[in-house]
Order: sequence, then C-alpha cells, then structure tokens
Amino acid sequence: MARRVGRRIFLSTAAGAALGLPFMPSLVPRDVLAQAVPPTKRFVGILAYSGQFVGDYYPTATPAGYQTRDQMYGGERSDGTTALHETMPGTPHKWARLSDFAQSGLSNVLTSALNPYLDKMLLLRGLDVLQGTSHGYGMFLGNNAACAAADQFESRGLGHRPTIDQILAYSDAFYPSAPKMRSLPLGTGSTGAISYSDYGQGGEVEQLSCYIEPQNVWQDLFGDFMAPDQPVENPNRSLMNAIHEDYTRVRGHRRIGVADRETLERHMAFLADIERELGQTPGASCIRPDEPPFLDVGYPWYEVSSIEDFRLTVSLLIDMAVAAIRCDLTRVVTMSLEMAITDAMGTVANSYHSSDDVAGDWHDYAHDAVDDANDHAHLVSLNKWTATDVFAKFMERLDVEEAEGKTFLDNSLVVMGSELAMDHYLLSMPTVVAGGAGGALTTGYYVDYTNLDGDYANPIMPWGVLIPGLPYNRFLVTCLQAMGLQPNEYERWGEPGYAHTTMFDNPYNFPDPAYDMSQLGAPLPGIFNG
Amino acid sequence: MAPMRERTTTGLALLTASLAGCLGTIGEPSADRTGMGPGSGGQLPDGSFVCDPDGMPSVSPLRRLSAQQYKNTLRDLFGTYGVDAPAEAAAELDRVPVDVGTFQIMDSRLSDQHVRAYYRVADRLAAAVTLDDESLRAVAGDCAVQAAPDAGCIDAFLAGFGALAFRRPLTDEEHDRYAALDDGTRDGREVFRALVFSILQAPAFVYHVELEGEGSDTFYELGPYELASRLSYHFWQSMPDRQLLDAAADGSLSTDEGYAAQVDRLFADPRTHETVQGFYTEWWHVGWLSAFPDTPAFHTFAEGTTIGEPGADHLAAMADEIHAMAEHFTFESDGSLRDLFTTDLSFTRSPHLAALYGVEPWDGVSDYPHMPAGQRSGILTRAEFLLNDSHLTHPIHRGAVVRRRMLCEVFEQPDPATLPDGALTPPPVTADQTTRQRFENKTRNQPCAGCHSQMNPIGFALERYDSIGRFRDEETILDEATGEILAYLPIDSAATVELGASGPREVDSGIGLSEAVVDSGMTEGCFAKQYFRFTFGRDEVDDDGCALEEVRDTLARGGSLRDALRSIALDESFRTRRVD
Repeated sequence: MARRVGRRIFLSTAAGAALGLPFMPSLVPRDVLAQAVPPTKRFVGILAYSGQFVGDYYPTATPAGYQTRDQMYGGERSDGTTALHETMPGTPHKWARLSDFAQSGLSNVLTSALNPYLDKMLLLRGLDVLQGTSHGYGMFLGNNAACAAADQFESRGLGHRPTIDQILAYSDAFYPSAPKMRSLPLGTGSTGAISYSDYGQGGEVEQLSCYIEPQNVWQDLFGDFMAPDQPVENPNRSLMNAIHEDYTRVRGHRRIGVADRETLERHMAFLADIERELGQTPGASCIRPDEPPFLDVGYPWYEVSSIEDFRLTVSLLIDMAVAAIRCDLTRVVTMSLEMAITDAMGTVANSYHSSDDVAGDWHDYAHDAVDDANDHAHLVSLNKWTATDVFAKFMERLDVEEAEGKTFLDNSLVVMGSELAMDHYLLSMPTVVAGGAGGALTTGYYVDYTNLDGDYANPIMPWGVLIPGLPYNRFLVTCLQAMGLQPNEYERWGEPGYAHTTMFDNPYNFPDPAYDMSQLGAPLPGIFNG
Repeated sequence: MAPMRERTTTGLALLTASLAGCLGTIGEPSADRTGMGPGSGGQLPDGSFVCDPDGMPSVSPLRRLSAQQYKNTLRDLFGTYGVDAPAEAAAELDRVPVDVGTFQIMDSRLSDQHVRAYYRVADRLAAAVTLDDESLRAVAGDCAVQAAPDAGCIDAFLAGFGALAFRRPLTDEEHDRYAALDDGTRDGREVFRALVFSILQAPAFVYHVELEGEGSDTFYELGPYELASRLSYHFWQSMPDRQLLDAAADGSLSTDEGYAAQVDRLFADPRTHETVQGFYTEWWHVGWLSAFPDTPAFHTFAEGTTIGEPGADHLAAMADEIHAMAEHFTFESDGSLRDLFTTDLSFTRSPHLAALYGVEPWDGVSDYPHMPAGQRSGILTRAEFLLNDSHLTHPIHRGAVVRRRMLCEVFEQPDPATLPDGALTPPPVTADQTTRQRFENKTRNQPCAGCHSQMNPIGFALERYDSIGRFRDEETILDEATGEILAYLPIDSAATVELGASGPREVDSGIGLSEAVVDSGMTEGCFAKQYFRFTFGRDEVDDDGCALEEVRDTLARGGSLRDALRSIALDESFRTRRVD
C-alpha cells in the first residue's frame, strides 16, 4: 500500500484537521459512545539494551502453590525461575496471574513499583527471534535487518523493513484521518531512533532520528499551538501549497530520473504533513504543557553533566509524549533508552549502551555480568530503572480516564522490550506489555510460551539451556492486529505475519522443526481477543 | 541540541572487522551499505581503472545538499547581505540531521526530519531578515521597507537574492509565481517574509538540481549555471560566488580556457583547503578519540608524559599535526602521495606531542624538524594514526585499517556463529607475552589464520609504536586492574607483508611498512576511490573508471596531490549528467 501524495491527498489533508473528537466525549451521547465508537488506540514501544538475565527478569518467587522449574522439572530445565502450572485455556501453554507475585514484586527488574498495574500488564516469556545472535536495534519492532554489523543480516539476505510503529503510523485503519505527527520517536543518548520507516511509500527504509530534547518535542507539537477558542491561521500554511507545487514542477521535468522522482515525492509527502499540521487545532480537552527548559544533558555517560538533568529530561520526554497522546496529536511513540541510570554501587550514575565494551557501560556490564557481581548489579539496576522510571511512568501517566471508565492506558499498548534477549542472546525476548488495546488483549497474566515439554534444548547458557518457545514474529502480529490492522495491511513480503522469517543455522538457534512455522501469521495464542 | 549521533557500533565493528576478517575475502566487492564496500570502479589487478573514452559516465542522482553544504550555503547566501544566518538560526540549524557514513556526504537519506529542519530554518531566517528595517534593507533594498513595495522592488529582490539562492537566474515562470505572492493580502514586510520562506524551501535551493544543458533527456552537458554550482560545491562545499556566476552568465565558463581558469581560481581559494582537510579528516578518521582512558593501567603507562597535565592537549595536537602535514604536501608544496606515507618531517607545534616524538616543536617559521633517525615516516607512523583507546596497542586493528582505509581492500565480516567460542574476545594480558605474541597465539589456527595472516603482519610491523604513538624497543606489561608493572618484554616488529600484487616483502618497522604500502601500487587507486566518494557522495561504479583513472594515473606518475585533486574536475565526465 504505497503512499503517494498526489494533489488530491495534499488538499484533502486540511479537512482532516478536525481531530480531537475522542477527547470530547461530552458531545456524544453516552450510550452511542459506549456502543458504537471504537476506542482510539495508541502504541508505545520502549527499548532497553543489552538483554536481561533470566533470573533477574522472570519471577523466581514461589508463592503458595508454585515451585521453581528446578523443583518441577529438574535437569536442564532448571534455571531458578518459577514454574507455571495453570494451563492457559485452549492452549498448551502455561500462565499465572501476575498478582500472584505482587508480594515480592515480579522480579529483580520488574519490581513492586509495577504492582499498581499488574492487572493491566502481560509478561510474556518464550518469544524467540528466528535469526538468533547478537544485538538487534530493529528487531524489537520488526526490522530484523537492523542489527549489529557483525551479524551481517543484510548481506545474508535480510532487507530493511519498516518497524511496526511505522506500519501503524502510515495505516489508514489506525489513523482514519492524519494526525499532527504520525509518530513521535524519542530517545536518550543517541538520536538514532528504533523506528525504521518507508513513510508508507514502499520505497527505501530509513532509520528515523529521534528527539532527545524535550523542548524540541514541545516546539514541534505545541509550539504553534492554537488555543481552541482562539484559532489563528498560521501564515506559513498558505505558502506550503506553492512550495509543494514547485516540487511538482521539478518532478515533471523530462530529465528527472526514476530515483529522482521518488526522492521528490518523498519530499512532497513531508511537505504535505507540515501543511496539514499547520492547519490543525487541538481538541477542546487538550492541555498544552509548559515549555520545558533546554537541558542538553550530554552524551555518552561521561559527558552527562547532571544526573538530575538527565532524570528530568527523561521525565519531560514522557510528559511530552503523554500530552501528545492525550491531545491526539500522535498515537505512536517509540523510545530508545540507549542511556540509563544505575545506582548499583550506591552512587547514582549514568551508563549508556556502547558496543565498544568500554568499562562502565551498559554493554560491558552485560558481557561481564556472569562472572562479575558488580557488573551484574549494574545490569539489574539499569534495567530496573527502565522498568520503574520509564515503563511504569508511561503507565502511571496514561492511566487516567479517557472515556466511559476506560483510561488512556486501557486503550493503549505500551510495550517494553530489549535489543537482546536472555543472557545477551535472542531467545526469549524480554517482553512486557501494559494496556489491553481497548480490550483486544487479555491482561493480568504471566504467560510462558516456552516449550518445556519439547525435544529441543540448547545447553550453551551459563544459567542452563535455551529452550524454544514461539517466534517473536507472532508477538508483532498480535500488536498489529490489536491495533486494528488486518493482515493485508502489513503482510507485504510474501511471508505470513510480520518480521523476517528466515532462520539462520548457528549455535544459538534451533532448527525449523522447533517452531510451528505454519502459524507465523497468527496472533499469540490465549491472549488475543480480536 | 546535541547533533544527531551515529549509533555507537563503531568499536564492535572495528573489533569484528579485524578479528572477523578471519573468514573474509579480500578484494571482493561488498554489499556493505556503509560505503566501505565499494563497487570496483572497473579496477584491474594492477590498480588501474578501466576507462572507456566512448562510454557514458555513471548516473548522477538528484541529491539534496549535504548538511554541511546546506549550512555553508545559508552562511554564504545571507553573508552576502551582512546577515549572520548561522547565528540567527543556530537552534534551527542544530536540528538539521547530521549526515553519517564513510564520508558524511554519502548520506543521501531524506527523512521528515530533513524537511522539517528546512521548514524551521526557512521560517526563522525569513522572520529574522524581515523583522527589522536594517536587515530587510540589506536583503531587499530600501524599497522593501515600504508598506506596499512596488513590483520593481520585488523584481529586484528576485533577481538578487532569489538568483543567488537558486544559483541561477529565476525562470520567467518562477518569477511570476513568486511575484504573485504580493497579491494584496500581505503587507510589504510579509511579502518579503513569504518570499524568503518559500525560496529557502524550494527544490532549487535544497537540491542540486541539474536539468539544463545540451544533449538528450538521459545524457547531457550541464548548463553553465549548473556547472558553476557543481564546481563550487566540489571545491568549496558551498554555493558559487559572484565571479563564478558571472562566468556562467557571460559564457566564459563554457569554454575550456575559462573553465580551467575557474578551476584554478577555486582550487586556490582557502575554502578548498577546508574542503580537502575535511576529506583527509574523514578518510583517516582524524580526531576519533575524544579522551584518553582513565584506568590505573593507562595512568602507569602514561607516566613520563605530560598527559593529563593542565594545558596539555595531546589529542588535539595529534590531529593538528595530520592537518599540518596534509596542508604542507597538498597546498604548500608539490607534495605527492608518497610524501604522505614516507616523510620524516615533524609538523607539530605542540611541545607535548613533540616530546612524545623526541623532536623540537616546529616554530612556524623555520624548516620543519626531522624525526629522530630511523623512527618514523609518514601517516602510518604518526600518533594520530597509531592511537588506541587503551594502554595496549591493537595490531589487528592497525592492520585492518591499513588494508581497508589505505589500500581500499574489502573484508567481508565472517558469520560470528561460525567462529570458535571466544573468538571475539581479546587475548588476556599475561606477564610473559607481548601484545604481538598474544594475538599471534590467538589467531594462529584456522579458521582465523587465513585472513589474519593478511592483517597481523602489518600491525606487528607497527609494534614499535605504543598506543599513544611513542617509539619503543620494549613493551611494558601492566596489570590492567591495578596498573602494576608486570614485566618489560622486547619488541619484535619483523614481519612479512604482502600488499597488492607486489609479492611478499620483509619489513621490520613502520618505515619499512610505509615503503611497502606506497610501493604496493594500491594506494593511488585507493586515494582515487576515497576522493571520488567524498566529492560525489556515492560509491564508485564501473562507469566511473575514467574519472578514477585520471586521479590514480596522476598520482602513479608521481604527480602532486594538488594535481590529483584538481583532475576530477577537469575530467570531461565532470561536466555532464546521466539520468536513469
């Protein structure tokens, strides 16, 4: 579904300015609202780095009725984590209420700070990236080609694909009328976003740059804010049309090549976005946040001048994102946490993810955590910070009533993952979800898709064995369908579902029979309500 | 706002590029999108490029101005009128996405962030130059401050500012369209704000639009104004000056003599020096290290130097020395590529770096001092090149850099899953082994030995220089955690290197290695490729053979760097455009 911006679309976008209706429920009869108006859904993707340790991320507590895997299975299934015993209806998989682990907190990383939201969360275990090995900045949201150079996924045939947030951003089903900003990529540290996009045009896929400065988000989303009762036409808006036409003329020149034309059309699409944004007024209930200070905290960690400024930056980025969501200026947010905070040694310090293996960075901690208690403590602390200061903060700030007793969080999907999985590999991606996408997902459970009864196990881990579960692809399908998309809106490469399905033969992976590849296009079993 | 930063995979990439060269293939084209993996450019085994005089040059895609070109152009355009655009729009310019790639100019991506940045900058500068009378008068003349400027005032503005921004006179159609903004709905000031705002976002400003000239729809000679722009962005990374535009207007640029005269003039301009220094900086990764390590081992290692003392800025001095060396051989003398690799002159003015070298700092007036006899020659033996972010050297890294960056050989990275366990882990420090011995032991067996036999000897020949570039006869082995000295072990820098088609060669020092590198017959072609990528912003392909061979041949015949750098602009293909 290529998105070409012709003149008709360019003009019609102005008519799409009447957004904000979801924020004016008082204008709609309550019974109609409850029965006929589907909830407005939002997607938030948060990426941490360097993976997790299995015993720090998954529950290890044994409340009444529970045993550890060591006790229940023993042998190579032993890893110290809690074994689940209740079968998820209609599936062979096990699950447990997250609230069963509230007393201790879910885990060292997913602490009791998340307790207020356990009924709105899903902790998913056993979701594997089929290609295996190493860092995958794009794998979290479906561009498996975006990974550490050492993996050579590109030269092994994986082309770049849009991440699912960008599929949503350019979906007519997700955005019936165009928003002020199709997606809001945020980040700490690097300005390379975790979002990869073809801008809905089907052409080359590019990594987006992300906002790292809250003030810049404010300027672009709220800087030209027009109060609902004082609409003022932005004088630039009437000029954008002529600029757009200028590009149209060049595009039509006989000496413009095929690639040149694509470049110009892409440019024109962005101009159209700007014109549309200039013409929009926010909903009546939209509250303009105060303009944040310019903080410029520095990067990498040893350049960060103030931990408190860094904390404030992250908090303000979340504030800006939530304000944008609540004003319906965007429905898609991604956040890359390349820089985070550790207080493992009693002193609060920044860290960032660098592949340089520099002593003191997140990546280095992860590499050495098996043998080094201090590094292990740092790794846990960094991941705990991402869970409590980012993931939980998104939940907290979105968990306010939107309409009819449902909160923004209830209607959203807030996903936190990592560019690596357990113990720095890619099997069992750390995946925790909040919100239920307006009831599309069942929440409140810890679901284990690991095939503990299967034949495949890979004894290379320091903590035990790798045991396959389900392809992570199916989680992406779950997200897309929960957001209201049908397969024909995202299946573009002749493969079912989303993300690459090619499997590489390597020591960290499993052969094809480990997975039921016929179900790649199906949502995860047991939690998807349609 | 901090500029866009490249994701920090560099270290891993270097590590794997070196160690992972184990299974790689040298000399094969790569699918690597970073630009390190080029097309061949039609290169033959002897290093020369195939030039088909009857062939057409390669396709020149429509490109946006690079981030640097965009900023330079705004600086020069508004600077013409005394307006400091970089200062007026500092915050907005800071949000122009940074170009990333082997050479930044090779980043041809166009994202919404680019277009939003163009919008913000246009909005800011349009407001800045029309808000006060002085600026508006400067840009559009006295008539512009009238409440209702007449048509002549707008015509003059379009013929002046508009033509400069577009790097050519506006067409009648463009003129009429812009003039129509004065439709009675805007006051005079707003008319000019609208004009500046619109012009700064027009394709003729933001892109290298090259559509005019004699020829067919798919292959043609550039029109004079487009040729003027291509020349100025080639040499200056910015818009043409008035003289160049005048040469386009009066037709002299379209003559061989007039064109050559402009090439000479542009090349002599200080802006060309800046551009060429930018080329060397990116090619050699000058300034890549921002701080020395802060580890106990490094502190012990650096004892006896002034590193860390107030006022000591070794890293800046190392970068400055490279720039001074490049400046000397490129512009101050008829230096050759061989000079860059073999000179024993010291160019540093820094007493701190000079002390590391054991020379007197250059006083800026006298002849350059010579390095201590038998110790150094050219770029490969200078501290900036030898630097590592550790107290340890990384000989594999050094070897890989020489092969990839100086010889343009391509290492496909191996599949890490096929490597033995721990293959990518650096060998641990022990008191009884030098760095060379540790890496030799680590890589002596297959599958690593295959490619490491290509990289390691180069690095071993450079082992007489430590990780901050000091010459040494022995290696001090340090406890990494405590900095305690464990041992002093003698350096062995003897190695057999095989570079290009020149066969095995015994070397025992950086001097010998430098001679071998420059004798390999590959450096000239590599220089040609790197400069081609830098100036055209893309990888070379077979159809670019003529332009590449022009540069390579100039260097191979012992010609000067200056002539080589000018030669691409003098090649016929420079004046044409092919469309796909």
